[in-house]
Amino acid sequence: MKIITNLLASRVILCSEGGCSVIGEQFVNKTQQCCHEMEYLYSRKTIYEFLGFVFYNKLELKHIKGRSLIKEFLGLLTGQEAMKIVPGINELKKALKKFNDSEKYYLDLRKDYQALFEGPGPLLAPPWESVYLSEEKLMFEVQTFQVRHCYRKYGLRIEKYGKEPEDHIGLELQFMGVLAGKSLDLLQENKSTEFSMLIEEQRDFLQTHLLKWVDQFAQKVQKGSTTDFYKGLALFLTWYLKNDFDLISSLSPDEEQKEVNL
Amino acid sequence: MSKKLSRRSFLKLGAGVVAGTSALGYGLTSGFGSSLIPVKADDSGEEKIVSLAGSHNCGGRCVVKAHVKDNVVVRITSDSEPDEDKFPQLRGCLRCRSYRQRLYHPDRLKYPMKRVGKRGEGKFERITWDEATTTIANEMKRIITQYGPEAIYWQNMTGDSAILAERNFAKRLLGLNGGYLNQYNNYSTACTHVATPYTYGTTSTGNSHDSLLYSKLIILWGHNPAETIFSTNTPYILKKARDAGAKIIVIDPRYSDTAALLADEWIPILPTTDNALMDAMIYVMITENLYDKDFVAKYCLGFDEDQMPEGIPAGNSLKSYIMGVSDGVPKTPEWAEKICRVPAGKIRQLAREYATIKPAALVQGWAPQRHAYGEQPVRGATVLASITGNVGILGGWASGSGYWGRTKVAGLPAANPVKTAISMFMWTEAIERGTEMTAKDGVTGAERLSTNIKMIFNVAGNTLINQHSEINNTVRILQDESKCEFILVADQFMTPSAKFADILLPSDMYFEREDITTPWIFGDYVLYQGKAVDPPFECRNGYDWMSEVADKLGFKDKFTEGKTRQDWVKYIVEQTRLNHPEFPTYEEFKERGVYKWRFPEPLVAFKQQIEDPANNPFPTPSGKIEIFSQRLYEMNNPEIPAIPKYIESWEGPADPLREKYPLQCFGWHYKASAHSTFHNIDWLQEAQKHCLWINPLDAEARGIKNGDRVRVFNDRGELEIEARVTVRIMPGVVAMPEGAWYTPDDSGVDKGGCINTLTKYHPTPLAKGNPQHTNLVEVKKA
Repeated sequence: MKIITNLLASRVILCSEGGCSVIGEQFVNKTQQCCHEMEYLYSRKTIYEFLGFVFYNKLELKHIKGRSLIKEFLGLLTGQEAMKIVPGINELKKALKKFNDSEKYYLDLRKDYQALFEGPGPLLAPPWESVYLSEEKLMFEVQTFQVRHCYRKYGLRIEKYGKEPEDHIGLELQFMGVLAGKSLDLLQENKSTEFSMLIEEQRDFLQTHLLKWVDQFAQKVQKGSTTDFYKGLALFLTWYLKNDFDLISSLSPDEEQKEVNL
Repeated sequence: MSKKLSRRSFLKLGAGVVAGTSALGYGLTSGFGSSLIPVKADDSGEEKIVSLAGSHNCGGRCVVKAHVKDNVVVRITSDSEPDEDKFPQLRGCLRCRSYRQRLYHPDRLKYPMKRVGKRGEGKFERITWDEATTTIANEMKRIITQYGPEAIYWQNMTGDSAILAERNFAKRLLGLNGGYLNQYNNYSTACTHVATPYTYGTTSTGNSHDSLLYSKLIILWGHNPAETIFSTNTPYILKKARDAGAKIIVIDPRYSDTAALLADEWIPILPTTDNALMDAMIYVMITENLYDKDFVAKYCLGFDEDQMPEGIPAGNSLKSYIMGVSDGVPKTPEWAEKICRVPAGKIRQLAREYATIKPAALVQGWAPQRHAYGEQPVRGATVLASITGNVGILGGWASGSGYWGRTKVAGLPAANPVKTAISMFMWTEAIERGTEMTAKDGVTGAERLSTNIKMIFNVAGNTLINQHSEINNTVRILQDESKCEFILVADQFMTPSAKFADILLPSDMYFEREDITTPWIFGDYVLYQGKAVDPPFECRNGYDWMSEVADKLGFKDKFTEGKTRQDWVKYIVEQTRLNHPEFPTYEEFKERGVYKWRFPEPLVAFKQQIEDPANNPFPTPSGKIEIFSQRLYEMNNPEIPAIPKYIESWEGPADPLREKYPLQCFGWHYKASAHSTFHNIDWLQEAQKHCLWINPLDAEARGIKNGDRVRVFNDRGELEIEARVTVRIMPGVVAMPEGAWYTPDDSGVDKGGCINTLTKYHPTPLAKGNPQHTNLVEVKKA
C-alpha cells in the first residue's frame, strides 16, 4: 500500500518523465517510479476513452483529417520508444500514415466498420459480449443484463437504452474509462479505501466481462478487417486489457518488481 | 504474443499519453466523449407478460406470451387459457417458441442501406432514414411519371401476414400514389383458386374443421397439416376424429408426419399422376355401380351423355372419357397403376371405401395443384366428392380449394385505381416482356400491359428471389438494372431477396408492433398481437416509414387519416364489432389476447344447395355442380379439358427427359420454418435439419449413404444438400423442404439447398400458376 499512500499524499495529477510539474497546492517530489504510476492511472482513463470511442463510433472524415484528436492520440501512442514491440503499434503507425490521404482512407475505414459491426447481413465481428458468451449466442442475454447492472450501479445508462445492448465492446471500454476517471477523483480526494475498492471493481469488470471475450472478438476483427487501423486496434486492445489488468492488480508494493507478461 | 515489456516500460505508456494530451490542451477530459449518460428513471426490474401471436405465413396462429423485463423479452410461453375439449388451447410450436433466436439474432438488419455494388452483389452502404424515404418517394414519383402506374409492382409477400402487415399499408401507399399493377392468385393456391369455381362456382368449398369429427372416412390427399398446421388445432381435430373411429388415409409420395402420426394407411403416389388414380377410382365406381346415382342425377352436369349441355358433341361426358369411349383407353386400375404406381388392388379398395363409407371427407391439400397441370387434380377431386354424394353433408367434404369462413374480421382499407392485373407468378416475365403480354398470358382488366414492370415494392417477402421458380432465371432478369429500375426491400435479415435491393430497410418483428391476426382457413378465432418491446437499433415499422414517404409525396394526411398504429388496431376491432356485436372491445381483447367464436354446430359448405336445390342453385352458369364445364370446353385447349383428365406432364414420370434426369423432385412445407422464415435459426435446424429425402433403392444405385453431401441438378441449376436415405419416400422420387436460403458459390452452385434453383418458370395452362413441385433432377454424391 505504500505507493497508494504516497499517491494520496500528493495532488500531483500531471507529470512527465523529465521532471514533475505540479497542479495543485502541494508538491511532493516523488520517485520516478511513483510518477509513472500516477501517469499511468491518468493515461488509462484516456486510453479506455479512446478505445471506447473508436470501437463504438463509425469514424467520419473530421475524425482523421488534419490535426484531429484521434490522429494526435495515435501519434502519441505509437511515437513512444517503449511501445515499439507492443502488438498492433506497427499497424497503427501504418494507419496513421494513411491518415494523410484522409479523403480516401476514411472511406476504407467506414467500409471496414460496416462489415465488422453494422451489416447488413452476418457481421464479421459482432461487437456484443453476449453473442460470444451466452449459451444461445444472441444479443440481449444475461451478460447484457449484468453489464446494464454494472452501469446502473454508477448511475449510468447507455444513450440508446432499450435500442441497443449494453455489452457493446465500445460501451464496456467507455465504462472502464469512466471508472478510471472516478478512481483519479478518489485519489485527489484522498479517499484511499474507496480508491482501492474501485480499482478492485475495475479488475472485476475486466475479469468478468472484457477479458472473457476480447480474444475471440479481436481475432474476428483482425481476420475480418482490411485496414491497418482496425487490425492494429484489435491487437492493441487485447494486449492492453491484459496488461492493464495485471498492472492494476499489482498496485501494491509487493508487486512492484513484477514483470508484465504480454 | 511472447513479447515482454517491463512493468516500468509499460508504465511509461502513461507518461507519453499524459504529456501529450496535456500538450494538446485537452486537459483532464480526453475529448472522446461518452455514450454513457446518467440514469433517467430506474427500471422496475419486474417481469410483465404481454399476449401476442405469430403472424409469419404459417398455417397456424397461436398464442404467444412474451415475458418482458426492462424492455427485453427474456422468456416465451404459450396459451394459458383453459384447455377445453371443444375449444382447445392455441399452443405454439417450436417455431414461435424459438422467437428469441430471431429477435436477438446478431445478424438482424439494423440500419437502412443503399446499394453500392452491382445489383445482387450484396454490397451496401448505411444511409439515414431520411435519405431512404426521400429516395423511395422520388423513385415512386419518377417511375409513375415516366412509365405509368402499371410499372409499379407490389410483390407477393407473406413474411408478415397479420391484418395490419406492412404489405397492406404498402397497398394503401401505392394506391394513393396513383396505383400499381394488380396481381391475382398466390403461390399457395393458384390452380385450386381458379379451377374450383369451374365445378362449384365458388372457392368457399370447405367445412369448418370440427365437421371432420362426423366423418367415417377421411382421405388427406396431398395434405399435411401435421407440418403445415392449417389452423392451429387441425391435427388435434384429426386425432380426435380417428379416436372416434374414422379411418384416415394419406395419399402422398412421402410418408409425411401427418401419415406417420394420424393415418391408418399411407398410399404413396408419383407426383403429377393424381388424376390417373382419380380416373381409375371413378372407373371402379362406375363399373361396380358404387357412385351415388341420385346425387349425380339431382345436382350434377356432365356425368354421362344424358347429362350434357345442348350442342356438345357426343363422347365428351365424364363417363365416356373414363370408359374409353372418347379416346379408346378405359381408365382401369391396371391402366392407372402403370402411371401412378398405386397397385390396382389398392385403387379398387380406395374407390370402394370412398364410395361406400359415408360420410367421407376427401380433404384436398394444396400440394397436388402446384404442378404442371395443377388444375386437373382440383377438378378431379371435386368430381369424386360429388359422385360419391359427399357434398353438402355433415362429415363430407366438397374438396377443391376448401376455403371456409363464417366470421368477418375487418381489414385495412386500400384502393387501387388501376384495374389491370397479372398472375402473381408472371412478374418476371412482365419485367422482360410485359408490353407483349395479353389475355393469352393471363392479363386481366386490360387488353395488354402498357409497360414492363420497372419498380418492385417488396416488404417482408422472399419471393423476389428465393420462393419464385427458377432462381437463376430470376437472378439474370433482376441483375439487369435497366429492366427493373428500382427495387425496394424491407426485411429482418439479409435474405437472398434482400441482396437484390436498391434500398434495403430494417423491419421490426412481431413482438415489436401491435396488430391482429387470424389463421389460414380460418379457424373461428382471432388473436391480438401486443407490442412487447421497442424495435432495436434503427429498425422501424412499415407504417411508420411509409407515413414519412407519404409525407414527402404530399399525401400523408390521406395515408394516415391522422391515425397512429394503435388507432388502426382499434379501428379493426371496431369494424369487426360492426359485423359481430359479440366481439370484445379493444381493451377486453388486449387483456385476453384471443377471441374464440363458439358456434353451436359445424359449418358445412353447400348445405343449402343440397337441402333445398330449387331455391339454392350452385353459383355456376348451369346452377349445377359442373363436372363438365362448357366455359372450359369453349377454350378449346387440350391442356384445359372440359372434364378433369389425367394429362401426361412435362417433367413427369413419362417425360423422355427422365433418361437424363431420372428422379422426380418436389418440396414440402417444413416444420422447422414457415416458408423461408426461420430458416436461419439454429435451434430449428438442430431439431429438423434441411435435407434431401431419397429412397434406399435410389441412394444405393448412386452410392449415396445417409448423411452424405449430394449434388442435385438439372439444366436449370445445381444445389448441394445433405442426403437422408429413408423409406419414407417412394422410389423414383426425391424431396426437400422448401424455404432454404439460396446461397450460390462462385460457380453458381447453391450451397444453401433452395429447391427453386431447380424449379421451372412455366405457368400452368389455366391459372397461370406455379408448378413448383414438377421437376426432374439427377442426384450425385458431392
